[in-house]
Amino acid sequence: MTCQQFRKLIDSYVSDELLIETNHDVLTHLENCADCRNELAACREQRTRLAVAVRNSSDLRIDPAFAVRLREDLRQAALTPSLWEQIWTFKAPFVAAAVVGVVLVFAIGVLFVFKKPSDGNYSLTASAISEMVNLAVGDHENCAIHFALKEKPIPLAVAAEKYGRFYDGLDKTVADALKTGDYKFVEAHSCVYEGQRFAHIVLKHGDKVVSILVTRTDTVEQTSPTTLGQFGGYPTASSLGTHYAFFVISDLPEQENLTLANDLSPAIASHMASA
Amino acid sequence: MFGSRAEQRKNWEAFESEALPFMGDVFRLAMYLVRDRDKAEDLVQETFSNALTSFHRYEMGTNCRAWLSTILYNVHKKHLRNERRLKFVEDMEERIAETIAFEPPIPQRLTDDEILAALDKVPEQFRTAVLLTDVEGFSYKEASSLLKVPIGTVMSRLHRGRRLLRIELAEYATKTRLIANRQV
Repeated sequence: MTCQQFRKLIDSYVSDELLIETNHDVLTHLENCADCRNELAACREQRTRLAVAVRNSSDLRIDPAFAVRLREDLRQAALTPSLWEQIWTFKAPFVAAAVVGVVLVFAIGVLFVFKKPSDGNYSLTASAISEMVNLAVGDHENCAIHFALKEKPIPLAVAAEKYGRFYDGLDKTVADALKTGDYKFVEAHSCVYEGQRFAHIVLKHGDKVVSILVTRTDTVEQTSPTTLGQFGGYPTASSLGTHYAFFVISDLPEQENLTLANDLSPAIASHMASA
Repeated sequence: MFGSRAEQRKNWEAFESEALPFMGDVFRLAMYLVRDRDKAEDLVQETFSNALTSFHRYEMGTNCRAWLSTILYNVHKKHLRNERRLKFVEDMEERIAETIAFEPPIPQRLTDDEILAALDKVPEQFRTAVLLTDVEGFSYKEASSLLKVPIGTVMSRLHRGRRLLRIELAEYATKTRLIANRQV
């Protein structure tokens, strides 16, 4: 090894990123080269002194009072039962009564106000579709990518009890329909983004995150999966079915995203029809 | 996290032992990013809140600090996008010529504050690479994942960051007359 070769490797050597064989070559060179040994020592010294200076800096140290407050806030969030749990364990009977009352009023309102058009068919307008797509992409980004939803996701089985049978087993439907073993199952749940509830299955393909999203809509028309282009930077494919919309959103190449949607669409349609 | 009380407590205890010990490290990273204590605290609060919500996705025993750091970077990027402060930055790597042939010695009598002041003068992309690897101890692969750049870019930025810091330290020492005249 020459000094020039060593100088190209010195950063990786100091960071302990070299292969064992290369380390051996470096050590052999250093045994015979005082200049390179001095340069290595200088590099290491700079690294050490920088780390010490940063870690000693009071400006970069967390305020202990803030740390204590944050810990307590997190503990409260982790251990305080949700509103649903309080109702279920009868710890909030008045809240339970109020929730039931609201549900009844809403149900009555829906019965009186909601009317099918005379031909029994209706479809989402273009703006409604656009809004739905934006909500789906927003859910993908805020749930699967940033883990930043305001409301905590719930298991699909729980969603099935509360919001509709179609949630139950949707993850198994997707898993069975995947035609290649290249997709790794990450998780499945039901989540809400800006008031719209989705069944959400998260997959990974290499380092790419894929969201399979299904949500209830007013549609009765059936469409094949279509690529909608890029929404928010994410290739998006969608198809509509009887009372549902299905989305595949990822950072895969657009064609690959659409292929996945095509692979899953028949199984999703069958699942939704039987739910 | 819908579950029984016992499950909630178990989940909290696991989070407390795995994730909370890194609160200081995450805060330090947040300070590198936003350079303001109040903003850093907000960033850390949101990071740990998101981490708690998503703790079921974390694989116990893996690199929790790297996982938390990834969440921090994602939250920070989201804030920048919301504030519309993301701007196209030219590739700095090609604009700084490799003219550093002279490797000055490391001055001996600089204080920690002087070292940090020299670091502040290194352009941000290179400074971040140096901080993540030399101070925080992330591997090239981890730094690459955090910064969402190829490993080669991390290596290149680290190389230049270290060199530029060396130059800044030498100039700092020269200004305080700690390096002897070169002609002697």
